[in-house]
Amino acid sequence: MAEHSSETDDSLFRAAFGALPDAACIFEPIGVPGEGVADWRYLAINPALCAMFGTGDLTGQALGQHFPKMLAHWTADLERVILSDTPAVLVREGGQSPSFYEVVLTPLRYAGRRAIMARIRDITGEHQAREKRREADARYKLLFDAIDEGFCIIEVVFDADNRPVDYRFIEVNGAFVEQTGLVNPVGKAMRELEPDIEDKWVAAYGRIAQTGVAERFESKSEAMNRWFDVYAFPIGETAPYLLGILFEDIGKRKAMELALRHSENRLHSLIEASSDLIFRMNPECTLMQQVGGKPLLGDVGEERNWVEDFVPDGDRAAVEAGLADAVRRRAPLEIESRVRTAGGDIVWLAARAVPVLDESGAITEWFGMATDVTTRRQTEQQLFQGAEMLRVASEIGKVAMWEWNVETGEMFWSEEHYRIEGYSVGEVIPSYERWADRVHPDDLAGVELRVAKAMETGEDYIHEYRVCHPTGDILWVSARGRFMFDEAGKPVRMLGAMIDITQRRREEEWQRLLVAELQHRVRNLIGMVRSVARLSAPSHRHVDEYVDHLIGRLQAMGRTQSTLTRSPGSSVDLAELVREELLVHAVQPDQCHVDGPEIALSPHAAEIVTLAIHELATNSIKYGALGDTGYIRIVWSSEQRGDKQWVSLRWQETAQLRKTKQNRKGFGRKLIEERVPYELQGHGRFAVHDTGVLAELEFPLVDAGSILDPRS
Amino acid sequence: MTDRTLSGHRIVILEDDYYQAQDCRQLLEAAGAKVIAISATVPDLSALLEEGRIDAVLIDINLGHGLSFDFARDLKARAIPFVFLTGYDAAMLPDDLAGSGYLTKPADAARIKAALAHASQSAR
Repeated sequence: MAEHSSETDDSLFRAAFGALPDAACIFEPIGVPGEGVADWRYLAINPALCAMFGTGDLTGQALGQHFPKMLAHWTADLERVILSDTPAVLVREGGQSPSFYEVVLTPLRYAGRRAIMARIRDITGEHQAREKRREADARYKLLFDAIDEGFCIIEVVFDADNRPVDYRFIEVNGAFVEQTGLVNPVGKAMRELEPDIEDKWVAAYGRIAQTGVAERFESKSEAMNRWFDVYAFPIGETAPYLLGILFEDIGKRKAMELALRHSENRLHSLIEASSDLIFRMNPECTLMQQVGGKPLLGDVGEERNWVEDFVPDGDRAAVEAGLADAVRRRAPLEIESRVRTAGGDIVWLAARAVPVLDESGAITEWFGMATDVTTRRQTEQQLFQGAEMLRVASEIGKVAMWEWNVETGEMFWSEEHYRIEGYSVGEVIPSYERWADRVHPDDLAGVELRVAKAMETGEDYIHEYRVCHPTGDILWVSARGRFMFDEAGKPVRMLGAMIDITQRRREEEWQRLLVAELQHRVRNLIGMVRSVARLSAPSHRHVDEYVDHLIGRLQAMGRTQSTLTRSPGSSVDLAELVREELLVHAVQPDQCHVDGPEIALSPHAAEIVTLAIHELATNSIKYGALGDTGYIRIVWSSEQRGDKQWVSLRWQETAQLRKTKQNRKGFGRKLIEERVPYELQGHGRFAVHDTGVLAELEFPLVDAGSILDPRS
Repeated sequence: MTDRTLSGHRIVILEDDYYQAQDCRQLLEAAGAKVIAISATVPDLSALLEEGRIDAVLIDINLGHGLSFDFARDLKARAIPFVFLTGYDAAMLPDDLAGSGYLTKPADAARIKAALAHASQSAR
């Protein structure tokens, strides 16, 4: 280069300087750098700079002359570069922001003098791009650490044959450790961290690294005992790519999914297998749709107004009320009603539904199931009717029932059973002992023997025995029972019924006595008639007279008998007896005076008094007062003598004259004087005075009457 | 009357009906018997026995008072023969007196006499 003249060099330099794309200029200090530089003179200025500043060629002129602000701004930098003799790159914001300039200051020597070249480039675009990337990077980093998912960047390691063998973590986020359990992974290889890691992971990542195709998959790592949901994508321009991996440990979700699927399967099976009808209803419970289970209503098809379509008219109001109540309370609904199926059959359905609520608590729908309870209802109805029938029948029939659990000793008594045993209902806990307590002591052995026999043979237990009440009452009961046996023939239960037959027993006994008494009376009467006939005979010479007397006496006896049988066992009123006897003999009221207190005679005494009055009246008509214009006083009284009440009856005739004097002891006199003492343990007197007959009867009153009175 | 079937027999009659008792007394006395007592109620046996022996007793069963069975038992205990004369059936007799002499009313005189003779005979 030495041959070249400085003139040639200068023109070459100028050409190059002028062709520079960047704006450039060369300054020389006006003054001594380090001691005070007043201004900078342009030694050269290229066209690009002229264009940038919009000026002409400023060579030879001073910077401060044209751009005083620039001088103030730059002079320190220019002086520093000159003094340090080191190039500097400065970035400055332009006056019209946003605009950035890169200024390169290079110290140089020009014609033996120190100078400086400034090259100015507009880097506004570059600067903005860089700022943007920096912001993006910061945001990315923030996101990276903020997400719950694990994220990492890996580099897949290939062997010599280009097969993936491992992968290395380049970067991981905060959630990585939590999601994987791998600690401090950055810079380490996977097989270093987890030697047992499955090959499938390396294979998958190797494939993505080579193909550059992102993949999404769920897979379980047995080695890590975790389920992962993974999205792996390539990073970079060429294969083998780095990989970004976004993943999540979905073990819990997976377990829940499995459980949910299992549960769904089971629910589905249940619905399919259900003999119930599964349904949903609208919030108002008016429309119903079958969603599964058995078609209890037949083919329901679309949503239907089920109350109108299926519920019979009579039950509709009750069902609607039940629905309205459940809707109002927003509480589970339970309804049992008859429904008419699509086929026209009437069945009983028990439906239960629960409201499904949304977040605001409003009902969105009802979900429920219905069961066919027709058989149960029928059974219940039959049971109810049966029990009702049994209850009424046993109440009406006064049947006492018992059930005896032979194994446990437990006993059940119906209310009537308590009553028959002389307990108030519920007074004692029924038991064999409480029952045995009330059996008549004399009957207990026999009853227990019968029960034991029935238990042994399986034959029905049938027995009649006496029950003693604490009140002293004794009841006759008729009991029938049957033992139930298990398969092994062991007695397990005894069921039985019992009725009070005291009345029947009493009537039977009464009837037996009555028949016996009747026989006795008839035979006695015949004996008596025979005796009366014989005893009447001696006093009459004429047959006609004898027959009259005999018939009269027999009629009087007949009257007594009819009085007695008319009201068997009851007593006879003395006054009534006397009046009736006088009436029979046609005694006029003005012929007699009857007076005495009210006295009840035993049937036996009544019979004798009747006959006595008959004899006296007959006699009086024939011979005494009643046959004439006489008068009779019949009076009686009673008084206490010792421990007995005695009655005294007096018959007194007053006659003008006596037809015959009668001293012979006739039938009537014998009756009064002998029969009264003999049969009534009393006294009898019969006397004939001038004025007429005076007869007196005295005897103690006894309660015991005829056997016909069962209470006596 | 030359009937002496019951000649010397000392007899007691328990019969609550006066007429029938009289009737019986007459027919027994006609047969030579000595009726030592005739009563509508149970007599005092010991007092009667103090007066002499009793060969036979004729008893009317009177359920109305129910005492005649006890009286019969008393007689049985003292080995005094007796015969029931009653309108009731023999079935009415209690078990311990079931085998006793028994006549159903109305009985004719011959049967009463024969029964009493038989009873007193077998006791001797």
